[in-house]
Amino acid sequence: MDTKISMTQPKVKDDIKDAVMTEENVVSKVKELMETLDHIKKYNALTRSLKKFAFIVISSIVVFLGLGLSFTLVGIEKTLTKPLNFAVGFILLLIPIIGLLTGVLYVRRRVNSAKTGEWKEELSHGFPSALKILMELDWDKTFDEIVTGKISYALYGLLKTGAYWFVIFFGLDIILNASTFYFLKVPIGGGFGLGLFSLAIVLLFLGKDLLRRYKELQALDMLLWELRWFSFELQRDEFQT
Amino acid sequence: MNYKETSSKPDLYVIARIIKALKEKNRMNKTALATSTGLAYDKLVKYLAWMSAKGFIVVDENGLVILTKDGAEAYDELVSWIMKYVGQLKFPRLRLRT
Repeated sequence: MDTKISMTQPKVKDDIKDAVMTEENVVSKVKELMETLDHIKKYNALTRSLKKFAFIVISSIVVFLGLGLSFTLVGIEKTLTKPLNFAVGFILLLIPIIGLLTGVLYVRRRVNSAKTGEWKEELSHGFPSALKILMELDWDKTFDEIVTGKISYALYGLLKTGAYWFVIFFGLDIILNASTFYFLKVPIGGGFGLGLFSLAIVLLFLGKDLLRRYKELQALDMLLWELRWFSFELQRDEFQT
Repeated sequence: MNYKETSSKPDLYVIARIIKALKEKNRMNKTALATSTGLAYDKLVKYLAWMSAKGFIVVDENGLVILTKDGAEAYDELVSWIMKYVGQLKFPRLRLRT
């Protein structure tokens, strides 16, 4: 922030003076701002852990598919009885489930360990410290963090939903295979229809969560606009003594 | 020493810190003011020279720094100026979900 000081008359209008404006108000607003920026740090932590999350989840899916394919290619599938085959399928399905859980726990741990509240001691000194915090804020960095945080959050939600869909799809496929084999003596797979059905189940279970995520993205957008306006106005105007 | 000899513009928050300390204590000697504001003595002296030139403070014959009416008003205006912008900020409620 580049706040200039010149020797001309005060620019602050009389109507502003009339409003209830105390040092405590400024400190309280800056506290609110810093708490919000602490939240952005959490999104930042999510951004940093997104690659690893994607790696854990995708590699667990690749291992699951790889092992399933190798069992078929090597012919292990034929040596096992059908019920045993289904059991093996379920055990293999544990790999992407564990992968998904590990990924989510990893992200959660990283997000929760984001350092926050470092400004609290400084702000406890009142208005001059609030002013110092405002003047030393790196706005461009903050905006970048909000934008990348927003993208990462959306990607994380999509990846997680995709992984849920995958697990549900293969889980239902195994159940369908096992049930048709039990009742009709012929295992029948789900195919495209099951894919759509799985998607419907995922949307049913994660619908509220996805809606909340969408609202969260909108809130981040709103914050970005608010802060852009704020930093622009603060830099455009100059305090004159 | 003129403030402009070493720097082109003073930091607003340093000025605010000095005025706040003077508002609380009315008059202070420079050493006590430096301690109270957490400023190095040399830096404080430069700021005081700038503030004195602006009429925000006066130094009496005993070397005590006194806040003037203009200085107190400038501080209030600074608070209002910041509040004019900060006061309009609305923060959305964020809750990151993992």
